[in-house]
Amino acid sequence: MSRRRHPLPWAIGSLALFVLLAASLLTGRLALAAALAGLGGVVAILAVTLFRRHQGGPQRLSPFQRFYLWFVGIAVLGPFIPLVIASFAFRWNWPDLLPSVWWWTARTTARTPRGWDYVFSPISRVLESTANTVIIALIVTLVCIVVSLPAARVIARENFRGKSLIEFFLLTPLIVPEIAVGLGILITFIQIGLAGSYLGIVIVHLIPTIPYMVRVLTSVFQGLSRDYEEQAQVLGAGPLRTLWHVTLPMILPGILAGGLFAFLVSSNIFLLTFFIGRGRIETLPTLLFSEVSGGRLDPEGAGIALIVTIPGIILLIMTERFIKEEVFAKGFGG
Amino acid sequence: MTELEIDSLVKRFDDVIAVGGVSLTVKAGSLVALLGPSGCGKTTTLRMIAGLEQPTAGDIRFNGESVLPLQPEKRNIGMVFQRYVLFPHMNVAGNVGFGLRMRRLPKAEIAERVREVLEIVQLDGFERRFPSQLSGGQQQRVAIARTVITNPRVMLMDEPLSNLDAKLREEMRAFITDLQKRLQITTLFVTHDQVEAIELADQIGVMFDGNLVQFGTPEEIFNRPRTSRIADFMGATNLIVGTLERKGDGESVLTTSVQKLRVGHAPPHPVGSEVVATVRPEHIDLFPAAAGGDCAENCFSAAIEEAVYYGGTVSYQVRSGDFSLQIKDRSTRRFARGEGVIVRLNPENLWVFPEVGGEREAV
Repeated sequence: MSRRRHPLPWAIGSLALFVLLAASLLTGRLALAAALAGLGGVVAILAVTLFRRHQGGPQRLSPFQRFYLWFVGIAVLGPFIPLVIASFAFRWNWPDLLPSVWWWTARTTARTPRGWDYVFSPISRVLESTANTVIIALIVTLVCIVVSLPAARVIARENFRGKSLIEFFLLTPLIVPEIAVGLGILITFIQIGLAGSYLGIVIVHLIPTIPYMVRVLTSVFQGLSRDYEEQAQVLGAGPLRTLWHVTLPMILPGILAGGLFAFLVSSNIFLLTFFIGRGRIETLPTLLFSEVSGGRLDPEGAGIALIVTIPGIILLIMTERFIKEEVFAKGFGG
Repeated sequence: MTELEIDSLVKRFDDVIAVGGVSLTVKAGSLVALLGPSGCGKTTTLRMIAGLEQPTAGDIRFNGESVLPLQPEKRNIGMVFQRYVLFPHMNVAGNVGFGLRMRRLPKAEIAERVREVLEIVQLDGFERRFPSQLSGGQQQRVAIARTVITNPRVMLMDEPLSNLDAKLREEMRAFITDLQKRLQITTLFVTHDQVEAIELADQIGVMFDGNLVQFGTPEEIFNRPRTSRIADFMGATNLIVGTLERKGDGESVLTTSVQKLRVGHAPPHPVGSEVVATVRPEHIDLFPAAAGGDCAENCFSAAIEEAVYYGGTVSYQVRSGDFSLQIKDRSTRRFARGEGVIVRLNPENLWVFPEVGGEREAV
């Protein structure tokens, strides 16, 4: 993998995101906008990180490179600005450039908590939803790793009949529309009593996360020579101890990258959570959707939208130093 | 000490026979080399002994007891891989102590043994280094230390020196033989380098196409190869085709396209059969054309086609009629390209085999 991968693809990706974001903001689809903004943030941090690594030291950037950097920065962070302003606004009507009434001036006169007061008050259920989101995402990530590890190992190392079919099959959750899958699952889950349970949600969240995880881990296993495991075995380690002492430590960066994907995907799923949770289990995406489904960009919705982006960003910053860019790139392109 | 016995071992991958019935015995405490070109099945044989491949047929015994039912981790063998495969996430002490940790020895004892073994491989003080901070030779020694620390019954080495540069390889050869003799570990190692095999091994098994074609001491293999292909592989790269004309005690004569050649021993083939004689490049004598009168037998004149100086030896390609011979000359005298010379083939150094590239036995 070349060290000098150009940041152009990232810039183009960010531009596409920016256009989508602007469109969704204009059409009032705040849930989508918030999710995209979150994804955009991830892309921005990645792009900047990659860029820094490409330079390999303090080096003067060419005008082109500086242009790209600024472009990516603006494209990604720009759309956050109206969201931040909206979260502090009390009244912000078109065509005003800035809100006519700010939240903190209206705060004293309002009868119910507004804006950030509302977001942080128990009525908003933000805390409960955040806890739900994080706990579900963590469990999904762990289960996903456990399920995907053996699958990825076999796909990477063995040749068997129907291998390409299985690989294709693993990608289908990314191709088939969620709503089609979700409806069928909902009917089944109602019958067997899994609808509205945490278990049910974890199971449906595994559907879109496993393909990512398997892809990332497959490429990781392809890069890990079998010799290491054989050497451990010859030195007296049984299969489990080989896994624990040799395989897992060596593929940890890949597991972290895949885990980050799984966590982000899981914490951003709306439709499946909405179907299977049946309103009993609220996560940040479903909460945000119920808040803004009316189509108004009120300060409460904007506040929650900003909160939604936080877990992913925190996680990314926590894991950034472990992750090799190659592993990430392979997760997308194979 | 353990005696390793391989009995008609066969390994088939789908339609390909990788190992076709190999039998050999590595005596307790001795060092045997499996020598052969790449793809001859020597590594597969090694992996079957380690338990990393299941044999299709045959048996592997340690001191007469079959190890086939045992998983690799239960066989108590040591294996040094070609690329060392040190665990990159462990430091030297972690790598070397790995086998003992897997045997659940107390920590203090492991630390003590690691120190001892690192001293043996002359890497004391390197405990905290990571593999990426070591040179190739040091990594190699860590890999060996990691293997010998568990006191393996049998040590297996897969081309252990092929990743080192020439000077280091010399050092490591001496180091490995020394260590093996000192620790008296029954060792089987695989190589494609005949010099390495000759220098290291007590006995050599030559493998071609999945079969063991000759097994013996380095002297036997080097001086009395059973087929022309083994002779060729052992460096006797000059092949001379001819007809056996006369047979007798030390009096056999070969008719070739250039002239009659006397060969030093009687081949078992009937008079009149097509044979091929091989001779090592360093066993051919070369004289200036003017000295031709002194040479009594097996001499013919030839012209130098190519001369390459290798420091200490000069490699010549000479031609005389159909003969094209490679000669390594250690003398200080130099011949120029195109110069006429007298070539002498010592009857004692001519080895006669049935036919070119033939696998049938000779002598």
